[in-house]
Amino acid sequence: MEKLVLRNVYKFYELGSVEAVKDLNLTCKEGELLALLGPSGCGKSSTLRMIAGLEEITKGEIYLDGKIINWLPPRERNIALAFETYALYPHLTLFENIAFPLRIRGVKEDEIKREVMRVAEMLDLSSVLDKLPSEVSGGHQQRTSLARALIRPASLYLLDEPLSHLDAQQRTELRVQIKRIQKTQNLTMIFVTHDQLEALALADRIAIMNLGVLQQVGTPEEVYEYPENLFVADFVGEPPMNFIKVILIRENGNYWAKFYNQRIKIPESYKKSLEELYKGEETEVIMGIRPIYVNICEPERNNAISGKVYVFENIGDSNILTVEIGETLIRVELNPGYSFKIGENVNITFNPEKILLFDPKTEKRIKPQI
Amino acid sequence: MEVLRLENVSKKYGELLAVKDLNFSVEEGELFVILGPSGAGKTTTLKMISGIEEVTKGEIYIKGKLVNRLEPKDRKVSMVFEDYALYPHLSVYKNISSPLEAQGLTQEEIEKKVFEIARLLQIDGLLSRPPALISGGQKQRVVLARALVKDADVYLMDEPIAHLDAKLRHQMRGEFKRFQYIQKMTMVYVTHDFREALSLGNRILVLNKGITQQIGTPDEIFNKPANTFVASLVGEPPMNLLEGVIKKKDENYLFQINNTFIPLSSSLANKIVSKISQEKVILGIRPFDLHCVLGRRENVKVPEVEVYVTELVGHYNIVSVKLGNTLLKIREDKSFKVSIGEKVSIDFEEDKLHFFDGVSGNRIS
Repeated sequence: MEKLVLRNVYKFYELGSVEAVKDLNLTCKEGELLALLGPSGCGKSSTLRMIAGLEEITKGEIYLDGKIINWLPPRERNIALAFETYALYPHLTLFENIAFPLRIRGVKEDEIKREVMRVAEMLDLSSVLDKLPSEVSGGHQQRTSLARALIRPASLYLLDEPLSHLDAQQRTELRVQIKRIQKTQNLTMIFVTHDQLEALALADRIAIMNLGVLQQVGTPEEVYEYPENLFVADFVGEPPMNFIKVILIRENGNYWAKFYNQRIKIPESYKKSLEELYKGEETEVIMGIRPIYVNICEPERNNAISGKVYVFENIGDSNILTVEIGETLIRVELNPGYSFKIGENVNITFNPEKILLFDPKTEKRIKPQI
Repeated sequence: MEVLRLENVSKKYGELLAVKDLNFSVEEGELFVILGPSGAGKTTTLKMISGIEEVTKGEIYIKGKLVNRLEPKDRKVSMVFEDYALYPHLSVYKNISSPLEAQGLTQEEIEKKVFEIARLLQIDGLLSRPPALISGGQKQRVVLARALVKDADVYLMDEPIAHLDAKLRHQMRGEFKRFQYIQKMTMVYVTHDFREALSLGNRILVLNKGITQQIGTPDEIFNKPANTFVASLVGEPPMNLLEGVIKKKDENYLFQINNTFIPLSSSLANKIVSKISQEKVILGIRPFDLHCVLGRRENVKVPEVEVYVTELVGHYNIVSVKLGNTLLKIREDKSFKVSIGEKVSIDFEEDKLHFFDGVSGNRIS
């Protein structure tokens, strides 16, 4: 069931200025964890603030539970919020900070106590409830802010960069807790992040924005394996995807990508789409391939491309090899256990099923057609 | 040849001991990394080497000469700070070339050096601009260029790429490694990012609260961490650490975590037991050394456990389960599909286990 619907939503901050959000259409289903992902200035926070009612909608409609909420003040929206800056009351204990949304609703004392204990338990805060915000770590403050948002039943929970101020270890820990709580309690949640790994790890679906425009909405698998355009392909995944300019070769109705002295066969399923794009001998396309789908091989191997080691990095749980082929650098992600010297000869192959093609003009992915 | 040596170096700010009894030496052409969380004493150490901070106790030698009493400008070190400062009225080119002009090089030599370093750091297109017209990440690279272009015995780098966005940081890390390798500069490089440390370092010193935790090659730091602090600082997700006791039941040894038991071979269990002074032991295993299979299995280390949460992180599916009160993370390929609440079994090779003393946290080898 659709919980939240954004229909043709726009946001300008000044008349005639650039749109912060442009013609956004997006839905969030009941029980879904939706990530709004993008670089700074992409419009993700403006979108969240419009949903929360903290900013006016310039144009378009937002529906929650089937009802238009454009003109409802924030407190009448049945939306719970947790912000990047914790905004805790400094003179109140963590207990009272968490209890606050229940107190202002006149909930009975014993129920408040029960509820605070329940959320505190989920977020590992039980042992610090009697402390003031200034007496606990940033991690605890961020958990408290989250607990305060989660304590009351709401139609929708909005989280703005909930993990941003934590160190790496705390971040992975809290990430697990958020996902566990959201899934086991079947909460509908939207969170904003600039961190693609966080979005992949947490979300059921990810909406990727850039310069106010929605680029793609899809499952983590979809945005990782089938990015709609170059922006998404480049933004998602680490180490980043390799992009290589190649020349299309057409022979007997089949297509190859020419890359230095090597020809890479393009699967039959692309034929139809490439027919439309092919403009003769100098037609260029951009080939995209993730470092994990490039492999090293013996020089005799069919389709082997030879190059030199540009740099080799062992980062513990994986090895990253950068290979120099002519003017192009290609990253290869390998399992641990390799060793290479700068300048050494090396041969690589691409997993043909994982090659993506992009139109250099529109920057959109060229899709196979069956 | 040894370029830099620290002997029992300590730094006190009033009563606060920022760095305690630091001992290390750096060879010519070595990239020596200091890795640690904030407050570890990393930057303080760099500042003492550069001469900006006084040494409270101990000696610092550069090329065999005691430098404790030397002014920063007399030490032949080049340092980059995390918070950058550029001359606002000079072009990017002039900002980079200013230290060279002071050295009395010819214009031609200067130009060659500036262009080379600017290309490496991908700021060659910005050389004519004033600092006000470039981004924060670009400014940081200009500062880096200015430090690297200078002739020095030791280059001191304080988180030089920390402020860049993830993509650029990734790229710069590789470029930096290649550059240092080719130029054979002697460098001390400070970072809190374990990937940078492992990628770049010939050797790594792990520092926590001013105290040396381990000095070793990246391989030693990753595969033979000296204690639980080092073990949990490197790796993503970091090494799983499970607190328990080794029990003997009939003729079999078990590692007990609350109500969960993991079988251990008697040869391994005997070895560990002979080396510990008390009962409590911490067992460590890296997420990629664990394997999980759907459903219950016999003859595996953990025959049945419920999935607590799963996270798809790029190419991997990180599966978390609860053993005792501790979350155990397993790195599987993303083709491994499983949902919260489903049952899985877990297996691993015994030689992938690490053991640490339950009280001191030190490695039991």
